[in-house]
Amino acid sequence: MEVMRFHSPYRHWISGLLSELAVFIGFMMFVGLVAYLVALVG
Amino acid sequence: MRRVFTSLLAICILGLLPATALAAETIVDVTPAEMASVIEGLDGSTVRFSGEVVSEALRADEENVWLNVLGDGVAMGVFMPAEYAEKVSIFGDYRHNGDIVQIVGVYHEACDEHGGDMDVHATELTLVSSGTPREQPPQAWKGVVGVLGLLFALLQSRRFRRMKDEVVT
Amino acid sequence: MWVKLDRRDARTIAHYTGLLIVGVGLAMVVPLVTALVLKEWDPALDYLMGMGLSCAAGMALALSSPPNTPLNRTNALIVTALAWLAASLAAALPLAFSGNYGSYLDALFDAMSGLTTSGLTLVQDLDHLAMSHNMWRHFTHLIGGQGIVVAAVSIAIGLRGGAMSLYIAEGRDEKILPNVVHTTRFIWFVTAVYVVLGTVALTVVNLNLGMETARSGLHAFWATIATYDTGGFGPQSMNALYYHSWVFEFITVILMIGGTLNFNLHADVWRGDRKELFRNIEARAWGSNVLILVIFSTIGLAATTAFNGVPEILRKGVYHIFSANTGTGHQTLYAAQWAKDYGGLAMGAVILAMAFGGMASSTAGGIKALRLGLIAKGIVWRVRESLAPPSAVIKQRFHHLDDRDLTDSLLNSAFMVFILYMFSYITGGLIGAAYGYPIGDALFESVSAAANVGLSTGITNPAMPALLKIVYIVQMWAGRLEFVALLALFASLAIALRRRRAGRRSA
Repeated sequence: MEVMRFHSPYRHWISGLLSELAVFIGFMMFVGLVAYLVALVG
Repeated sequence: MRRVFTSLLAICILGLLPATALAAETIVDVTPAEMASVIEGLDGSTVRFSGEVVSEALRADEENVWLNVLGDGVAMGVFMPAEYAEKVSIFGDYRHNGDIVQIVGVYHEACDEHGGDMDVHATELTLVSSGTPREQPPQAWKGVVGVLGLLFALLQSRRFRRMKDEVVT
Repeated sequence: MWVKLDRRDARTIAHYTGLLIVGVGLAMVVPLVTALVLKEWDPALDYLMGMGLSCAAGMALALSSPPNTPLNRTNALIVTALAWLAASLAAALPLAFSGNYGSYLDALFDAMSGLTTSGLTLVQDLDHLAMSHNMWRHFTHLIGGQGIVVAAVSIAIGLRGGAMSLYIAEGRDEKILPNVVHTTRFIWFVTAVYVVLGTVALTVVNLNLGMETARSGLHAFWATIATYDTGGFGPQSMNALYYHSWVFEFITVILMIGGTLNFNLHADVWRGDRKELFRNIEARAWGSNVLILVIFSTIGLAATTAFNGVPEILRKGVYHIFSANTGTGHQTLYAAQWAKDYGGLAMGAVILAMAFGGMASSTAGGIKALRLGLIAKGIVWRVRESLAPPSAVIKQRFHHLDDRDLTDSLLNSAFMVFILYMFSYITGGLIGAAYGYPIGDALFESVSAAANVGLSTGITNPAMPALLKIVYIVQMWAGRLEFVALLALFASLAIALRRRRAGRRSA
């Protein structure tokens, strides 16, 4: 592993967590949307 | 006179027929286990079943609640107006055997109103019998075994620490 | 070249296994306190007994060898494999005497299922189960989810020298942080954050559903652990269907995704590198996998009579693909509905979702997205090589935290595990079919066990044949270890037995 990985992961944890949650919800909605569109077509 | 009487009788019978036909609408007697096993053709039928009410009444919307009726090892979610659920006072859990109720309602294999959940929309709820407390007397031998075991472990851990010191010195 | 194992190795292995069993015994203080607070006296005695027996047996084993005995890599592998069985044997004790299990085997099944974050269950009369027993069942997800070994390292039961070897044997071969102890603490930190968030959110949901305060909190905590640790147990017999709530399902899917995310990704994103979520081969492989399977599931469900509406496609279709793929196993269907209402294509999509699994370095099971991504890249690599002139050297790159070269060794390892999982899935399925269960159900259940998922077609129930219970226990165990560690354990036993026989013959 490279030296630059030694930054503490605790430093930006709140913004990191919020980004994660945003991506999760975004992905879920995207998947839901695709399912909806496939259901309409099918 | 006889013709009039016969006609009147005929009219009465004819008049009552549709009413009796309606009253004789088939109610299927089932158990929750049978409903959960997905019987063909049962979807949309009116069913009647009884079982123990367990856990609690969950809010479904402003006027209705969910009750869980446990029969034959399976719990079925029953959707009903909140007033029906007020007849139930004891819910089954660790300490209680819940009230036994009889439900009559419409069975849905995949309810459109509830995101595809299997449920029964109750039209009638009758309290059959009241719940009773469940007896779970504590078994003393478990405590004895436990305490003995912990004592043994404590003694062994002393030996353990002595081993540690031996290694260091 | 087989490694020689002698009596000293056996003592070292016994020592560390014993310490882990003590750890499990000590963990029982959580349900014990729950029982005392809620005045569940008989269950409290169950836990007192469990603690006593586990600590006694564990300490006796631990005395086989002095503290801080060095642990070489081979022994570490064997301890890791044994740890799950040993911990399950201990964890099953309080459950076995609770009155809610048909036999000790049934309790052992649930203990293994809980610790491996599977979720298949043989509990009886779940709706009357004591809260403290439910606490223990769900707590095993937390202990096992964070890795029994990882948990032990954090509690630091004198495992200083052996920590690194055990950590590698556990399967977490990425150095998330330069120091093993720091890595395990970070894993606990992420877990703590998600567990707090999930519990708070679901407590609000439950209060809104009209649940009484204590129950709201406990159910929220249990559901959070069961989904973030991708376990799948639930406190009521109806599992996730109990709540009849799309909000519950929505929140728990977020927890499932959080739980299946590779801990390296959590570390990178929490360090500020958000782009890694999109560049990472595993995130991409996982995302594509889920999307494709959702499409199949939707097409399949649209053809059924039961679930062909949009709300059903979302709440019964999409929800179960996430539940299956992340290895959670929460279910909003009755067991018989898989075969009867779900239909062929959609059920097939769910089986594939379970089989392929979530991300590596998480609590998910299955073949795992990273391997699938590597295999896909491997195929691309071979095709490129076949099209290039013979003398050319073709390199294939992929991005996992850094840009790397795909190597034969990585590919071989990915393929081997892929094949081992497939072998387990199919064998378990055939054994189920041999007992008379329909092949589709048998395959579904086998994959659910070996991939530590927990969705069930109903085959898993107290009345099932005892041998099949054992088969699933072994599958859950093997799947959690990704096979190699378990095979190493059996190989070492075989070697030890053979040497003993040879020793007797020559004497």
